[in-house]
Amino acid sequence: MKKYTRIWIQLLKNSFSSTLSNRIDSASYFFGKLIRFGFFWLLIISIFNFTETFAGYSTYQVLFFFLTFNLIDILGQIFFRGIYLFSSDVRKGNFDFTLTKPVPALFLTMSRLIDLLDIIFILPIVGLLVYAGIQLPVTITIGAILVYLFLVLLATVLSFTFHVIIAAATIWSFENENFIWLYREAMTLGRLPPDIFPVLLQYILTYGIPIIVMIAYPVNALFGLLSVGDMLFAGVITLLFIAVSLVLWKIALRSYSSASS
Amino acid sequence: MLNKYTTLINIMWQRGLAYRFTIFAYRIGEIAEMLVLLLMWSAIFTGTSTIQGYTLNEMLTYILFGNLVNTITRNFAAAGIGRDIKDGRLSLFLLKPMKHVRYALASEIGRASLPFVLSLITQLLVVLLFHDKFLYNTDPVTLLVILGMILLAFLLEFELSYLAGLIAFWTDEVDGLYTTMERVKKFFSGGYFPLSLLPATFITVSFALPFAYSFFVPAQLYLKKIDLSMGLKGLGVQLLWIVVLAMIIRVVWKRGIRKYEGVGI
Repeated sequence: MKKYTRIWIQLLKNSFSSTLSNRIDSASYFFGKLIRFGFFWLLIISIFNFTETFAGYSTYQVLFFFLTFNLIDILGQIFFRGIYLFSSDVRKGNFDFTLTKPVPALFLTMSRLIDLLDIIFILPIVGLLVYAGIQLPVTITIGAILVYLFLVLLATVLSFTFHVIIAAATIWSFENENFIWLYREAMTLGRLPPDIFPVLLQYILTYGIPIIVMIAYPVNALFGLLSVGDMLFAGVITLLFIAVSLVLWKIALRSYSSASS
Repeated sequence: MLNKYTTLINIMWQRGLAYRFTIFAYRIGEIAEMLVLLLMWSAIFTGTSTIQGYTLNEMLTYILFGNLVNTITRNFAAAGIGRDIKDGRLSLFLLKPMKHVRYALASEIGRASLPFVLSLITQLLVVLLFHDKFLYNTDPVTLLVILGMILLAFLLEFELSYLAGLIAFWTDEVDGLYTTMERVKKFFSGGYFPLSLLPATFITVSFALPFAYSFFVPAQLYLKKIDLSMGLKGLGVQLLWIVVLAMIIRVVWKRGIRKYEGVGI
């Protein structure tokens, strides 16, 4: 664990250097993130100019969904952003260098690109989560907060498994831009309470691509709306995704053809 | 004379065919975002029949029609131009008997053609899903003005994107700037929600800016929320912006090319 932490910190330092060498571009990216976040925040606030509740939720409850979506999305971006470089590595055969290093290929593949801006961006998100949490019209217990944090951790693990599946698909198809963007876009369905979706879509987003488990479950747990059965289901589906993703990764590794060799 | 441009368009069309799954995947992603907006507004309208003069059907039509226009008009020229400058590939174009801006425009028309066809198909599928809510406007004059607006909006978006790409003469990387610009543009174009839900001053400002003509104004015209005279005035504003941006591009290109180092020569 200590070894991995040391490598990760070194990669973070590299990212820091890269961010500093492209100051204007990095600042623009950060500004862009803030703008997208700010506009959606404004959209949610505007919704409540026309309605008292949204799918049965109050302003701060809906904001909490939005903030939790951002938190989980950013955690995935911080820890698994290396996936964006993976298709290029596979196409050019550079993945050979990853395979020969004395670190698990999956770890290096996921963490070789760390976005420092996301690490900075997570601070206001956490701050706003605390602020929105205080404003919530429901009583929040310490137990509910702990369950929320545990489910956010499970969501991050689920996000990891999606990235592993995308990496496996990349080895087979040489192209991952499609898959990663499909995943990112699908994730945006979690920005708002899932109650607005038709029942069939809710089923798909719970059992097929468990975005509801990733985002709505932690939020509903905090609101005291999640049953013990649902919590157990979150654990089971996470284990299932871990198993499936790792099996797919192993099968994919066997078919890696090392393009440049 | 035209032959070289039609060849370029054809090449980009062929290239698009090679990446058809990528284009299709992006469309699926866009549908997800649009679906969220459609379902979000459906949920908001459960307690009320009108919001700021919009009925549910008008709001859903606004989103569906506006997104279709936006799919046709938007473009990604900035990223390619930025890379050409950064990697020194621009040197190749400097030797060619055509202006780079025209090359980029022809390429962009070719690149946008396939996504346009796929968008049209997927968009029509979404319209079919909401067919009982979608409002139809069959007035030929209105549709003609909208068509003109879409063509001019395509040119405007291209100029904005091209300009963002030229910034690479000074910064190398333009992705961050372009992404930020896209997000600002989406908001000011009414892509998140109709600008009429915002204070009146905001709409006045938006009408004077070029962004609203690739989503909000054509959708308003289609919904008959603004009359034809406003639409014609909009075409005038677009033309004015096209001229102004062309002049800015000329100045920026002249200055930028002096800074160009031609990496790799």
